[in-house]
Amino acid sequence: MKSVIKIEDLSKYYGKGKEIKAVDRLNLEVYEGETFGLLGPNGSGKTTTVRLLNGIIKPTSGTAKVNGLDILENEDEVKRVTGMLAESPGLYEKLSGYEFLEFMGALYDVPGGILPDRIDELLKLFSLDDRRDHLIEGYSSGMKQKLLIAAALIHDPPIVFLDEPTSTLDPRAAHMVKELIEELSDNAGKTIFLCSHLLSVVEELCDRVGIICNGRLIAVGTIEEIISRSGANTLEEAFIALTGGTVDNELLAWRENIAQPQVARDS
Amino acid sequence: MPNPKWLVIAKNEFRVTTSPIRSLRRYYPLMLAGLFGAWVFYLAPMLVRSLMSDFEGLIVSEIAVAVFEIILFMFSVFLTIIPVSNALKEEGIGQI
Repeated sequence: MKSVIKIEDLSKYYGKGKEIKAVDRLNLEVYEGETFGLLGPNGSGKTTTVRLLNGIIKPTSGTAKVNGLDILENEDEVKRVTGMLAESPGLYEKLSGYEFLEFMGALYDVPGGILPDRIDELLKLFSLDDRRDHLIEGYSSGMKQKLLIAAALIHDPPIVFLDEPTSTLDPRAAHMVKELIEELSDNAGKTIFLCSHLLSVVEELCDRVGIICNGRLIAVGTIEEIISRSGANTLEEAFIALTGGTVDNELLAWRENIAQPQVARDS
Repeated sequence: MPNPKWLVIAKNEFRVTTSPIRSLRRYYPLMLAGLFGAWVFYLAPMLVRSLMSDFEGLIVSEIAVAVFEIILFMFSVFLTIIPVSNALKEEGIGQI
């Protein structure tokens, strides 16, 4: 299998004394055509990893190759071979869907001769063609998310990064987006790097999963491999076991103490 | 050859700003140029001629240089500072 993302000792530290380790000596390979899920609790370094791999921020040390391009030496070229859906993306609400995609296409230097056809294709693929000339401010959250995924694909990148693609959506819109991601992977042959803290999303979509905690990659493999290696029965149990999640007994005791007088008063 | 990025962004800002008159957007620069030409070559001279005597015209002409400088300054504020500050405020960009 051809490796399209190869991460070598990638680190990103913040703070004066570099005491905040957002990503710490990360080593990982993602193969062509697979859907890889980076799973981790909030603040574990998922978004930082995606931003590093897209050349948006520079690493403190280490490097990575994306589609054979070094993120330090070929920053601009890396952006051309990747599409990215950010966790909190900005949208020009006063533009129509078509205009927004036209703008994104122009930013990615998609030739004017092929851009209108590309936009038409994407709008049809994402079932947005009937609303193409409507302002984005009138779109639902699901439609906005679909438009943002379309924008990430406007330059036809072989690798697509999706950072929490369903976390802000209602179940129906989330289902729609998950189907789209599956379609991209199965029919369009894209390599998808998906970040999420939602286990169900990763379980449904990903061929392989990496679990990141406090900036360090603590497990990689298929979901079955991770479950069996951690001695758990489900991915949720494995995730909690690996990330050190525990039930806070003190907190539970405090809650019980609070609840008991209330029950007494009620009775 | 791809368009320079500043032009792509400027075109987008124009689209965002003129969003309320989207249907007329194509004709907007022509309409503005037409209105400007009509004002400069026809309406303003006619207005001044009808309102001012020769003496008032003389006074105005002496302060015209200062007024012209003020107008140019206002014009530069309108053309550069306001769009830049708007862009910095990310006006028109919303989170989903």
